[in-house]
Amino acid sequence: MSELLGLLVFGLAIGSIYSLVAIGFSMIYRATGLLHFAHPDLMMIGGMIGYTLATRTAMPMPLLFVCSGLAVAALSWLIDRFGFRPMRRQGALLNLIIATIGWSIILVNVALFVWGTAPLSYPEPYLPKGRTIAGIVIVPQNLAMLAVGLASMVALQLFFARTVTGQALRATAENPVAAQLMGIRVERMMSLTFLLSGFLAGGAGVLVASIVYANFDLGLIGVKSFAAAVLGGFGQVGGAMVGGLVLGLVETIGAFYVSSAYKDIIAYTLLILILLGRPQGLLGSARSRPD
Amino acid sequence: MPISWLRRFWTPAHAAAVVALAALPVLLASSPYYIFLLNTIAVFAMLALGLQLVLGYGGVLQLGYAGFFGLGAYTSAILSTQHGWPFPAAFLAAMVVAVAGAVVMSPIVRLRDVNFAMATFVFGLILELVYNQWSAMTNGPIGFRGIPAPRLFGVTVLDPQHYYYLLFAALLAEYVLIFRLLHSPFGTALRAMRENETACRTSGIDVTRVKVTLLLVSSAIAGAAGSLLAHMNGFISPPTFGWSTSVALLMMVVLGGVRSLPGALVGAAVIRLVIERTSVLGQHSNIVFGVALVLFMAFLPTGLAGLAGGITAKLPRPAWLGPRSVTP
Repeated sequence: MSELLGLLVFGLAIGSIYSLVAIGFSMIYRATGLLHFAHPDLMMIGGMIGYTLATRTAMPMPLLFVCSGLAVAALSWLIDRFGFRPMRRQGALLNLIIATIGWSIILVNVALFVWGTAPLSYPEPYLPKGRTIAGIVIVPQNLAMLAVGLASMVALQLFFARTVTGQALRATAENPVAAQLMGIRVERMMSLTFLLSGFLAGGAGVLVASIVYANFDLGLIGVKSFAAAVLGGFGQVGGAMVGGLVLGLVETIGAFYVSSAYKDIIAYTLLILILLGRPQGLLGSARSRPD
Repeated sequence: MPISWLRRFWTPAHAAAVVALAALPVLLASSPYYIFLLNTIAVFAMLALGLQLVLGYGGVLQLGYAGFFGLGAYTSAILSTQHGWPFPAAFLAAMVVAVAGAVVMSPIVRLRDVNFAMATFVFGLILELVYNQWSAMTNGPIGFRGIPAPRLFGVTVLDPQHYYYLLFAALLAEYVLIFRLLHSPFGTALRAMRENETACRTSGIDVTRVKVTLLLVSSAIAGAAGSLLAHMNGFISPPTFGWSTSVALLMMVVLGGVRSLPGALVGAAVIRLVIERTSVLGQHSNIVFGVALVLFMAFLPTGLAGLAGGITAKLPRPAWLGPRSVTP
């Protein structure tokens, strides 16, 4: 029983990381129609920057989350401003998607160049430690991750629902042309989308790198957030949150009871099945997305 | 009366290219390294042509192509090292297994653009994981060694120079097959589908069937290339059949020029040479690809073929070259 509880907490904690990356991924997809292959690598860069900050300044974890998030937000904005925006005007989506693959390769190699090939472990105070309380092993780190993840999601929901900017963002995602006609500055909203999603990816990178390691191939973990986004019905922010949590749980429990070697295969197969069976996602209604 | 596809195929440019490619190993005979390079390029040219068919002409973003390459390589390696199958049988089996893999994947043709691209990407990841994890079958990360050189008509093709002609024959057959396909009603259907899928459907073209055909044909090609690679090097391991190779293949098509068959060949040669030359730079060599992908997509989305086409269109064309060939 206590075993299962630990698994649940860990699954949800990992899941909240998937959610953070998946939300950004979905937001970008909704706003620009882009399948952003470099997004998981932005998460990786976030983890790397977090490592450097952690070893140099020993700042507390929440501050690390914010600083790394801001740095990656800036990077994400730069890539959009100088990489994607000029190409958006040409209007060839396939070319843009291929260009994101190019950015993914660039980010990975920059990370290799700056931080080297060896997996880097965060300094001692940041590492997860298990504590036994009443016979149950609790890892405070996992709980904190879950809390940070959930708090970010709640803040985002409020932002989208309650603020004018948030509503403008949603309008842009819904229909860019109509939004423009309503006087919304669509390009600015797209920039904001990249900033916000970059921030979430950078923060998620710190969380994941502190429990696993910081390395150039961390983006592979972020790839699973694609699966989370699909699970949540691609392009729906609320769906991406739930999708991430569900994926984290299924994968963690599957790894424990079935096979850890095949846990990625489980996640990916699930993704394809969901794409085929419920392209509108677990939560979406059948009519919400025609394709 | 339409000109037959064969008449279209035998343009002076095609004939000259065939002769030149057939003569290449003789010219490079002095260096075994160049022959090795040439053979590697030939295998990847097969793959690039296959991907050109799907991605370039079909407009379908197949991002897991290297996985099917792996299906062919592993099938051939397992059957010939562990079950003693002769080369022709293993080669055919490699194609069959790769096609079977495509059949398993084929339900995803119902998905549109982004979801389809996502599904192919993930399918490629799954295959790469299988090659790495299913140790009982694939030897895991170690891969296979000692895959025998092929025996054809009682002769063992050991000499790399002879192997080149085997590859050359396969490549030429593939090129002609794709050329034939493109100059058939199927080619016209492809063009219609690329331009406007909805209009294409309403004109009575079975888009689903066209896409499945594309996937099956291109996978058979990838399977054949995989088998030829396995028997050429005698050694295979999982990284060759993963995401990085899929990206390299994508690069070949994009750099050579989308919707150009010669472009795919040139792209394959350039990218393989870049991979070989930059390996001296060490682990950062891939950044060249990243930057090139971004720059090409931004400034030259039609690739080298587009560049060459733009230049030759401005030059006066001598009468003896005949009319410009038109590819759908």
